[in-house]
Amino acid sequence: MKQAQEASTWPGAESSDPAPDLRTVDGFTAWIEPHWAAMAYLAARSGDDRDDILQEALAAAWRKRAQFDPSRGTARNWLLAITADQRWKAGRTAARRLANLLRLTPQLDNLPEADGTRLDMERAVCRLPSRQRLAVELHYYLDLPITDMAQVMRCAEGTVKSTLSDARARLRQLLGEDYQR
Amino acid sequence: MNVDELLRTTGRAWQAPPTPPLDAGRTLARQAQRRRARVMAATAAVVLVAGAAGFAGWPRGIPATPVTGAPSAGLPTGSPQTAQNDPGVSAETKALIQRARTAAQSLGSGTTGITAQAVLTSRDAAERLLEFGQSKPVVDTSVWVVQLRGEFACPNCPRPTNAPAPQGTVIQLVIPKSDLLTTDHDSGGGMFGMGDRPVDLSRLGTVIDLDLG
Repeated sequence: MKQAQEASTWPGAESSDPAPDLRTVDGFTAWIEPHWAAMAYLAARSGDDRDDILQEALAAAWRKRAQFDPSRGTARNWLLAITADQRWKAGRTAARRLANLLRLTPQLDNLPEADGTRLDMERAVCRLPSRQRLAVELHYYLDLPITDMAQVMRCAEGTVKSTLSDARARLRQLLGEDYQR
Repeated sequence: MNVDELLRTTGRAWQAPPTPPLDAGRTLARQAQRRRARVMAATAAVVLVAGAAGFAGWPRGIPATPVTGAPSAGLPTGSPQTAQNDPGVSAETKALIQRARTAAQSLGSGTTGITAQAVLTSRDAAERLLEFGQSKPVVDTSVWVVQLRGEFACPNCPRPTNAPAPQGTVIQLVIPKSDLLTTDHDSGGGMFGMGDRPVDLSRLGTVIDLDLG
């Protein structure tokens, strides 16, 4: 619960990030730092390869830093979008696919005092298509509002809502009769 | 409990592992090294394949005159010397110019605006400076290191679908001295790399400037 509270207060919800000096590594680091925990949280949802995803995301953010436009969204959402991209790319590798087959839900270790229902839900979330899974994790795990999710997922708010709706429908299907409401 | 509610409780209960420390400088340096290694490996593969297929008009008809010592032997140390394409230039230097010109024409837009330098050194020293890290622990040999500077792109390099061709401002060729005057350019001892970071060739020996014309 404590982490969820922290998640909801991650900086970046405000759209007035100070103009960053991204020419130097120090300036870049200072710019990334407030959002690092959110990036790590999203990357960790992918399982064991969190550190690799974070490194790739950091390098990608450095390469693309000139493309960041504060008028189009907050730094946090831009960085989360890059992290989500890297997470998706990591999930496409053959080794990762094999790992997923062998161990479908690596995130279960991070669910303390889990009852059977939550474990079932966690397994079901991991079986969602990548786009639906990202929507669910941004909304329910990182507590992002729809507006921010649209920036992270680079789509319209209506698309986010329909993706979430599809994800819930799929989860009901996966979880069975008890969750048909 | 419905799905929405269960998702909320599951999401709030899930705990991420401790956040790793942020060390952007180190991470970026490591990533750049890995990226450069990937580009070098890819371009080396392309050049080997291209060489095997006789691609890009490698120099032909070079007289197989025996090499009598390094061409830079007679050059004073200190300031780089310009090897003009005149009769006084040795066959080895002409071959270097031809190799550099071929690389510039294959990967750049002609030879305009491209400068080239070469230095004769040992393979170990070249490997230490260029960090290509792929040579096998074979008997150390003399190699020519040629560095071209300009704007280059490698349209034939393998890359993900729809990804742009790798680009760079520096090309480095490592050519075994024993291979330079042979017509077999695919003997496997050469290296090829493209990137954005030039190296100081003078750390390897006396540098000669190659006039690509």
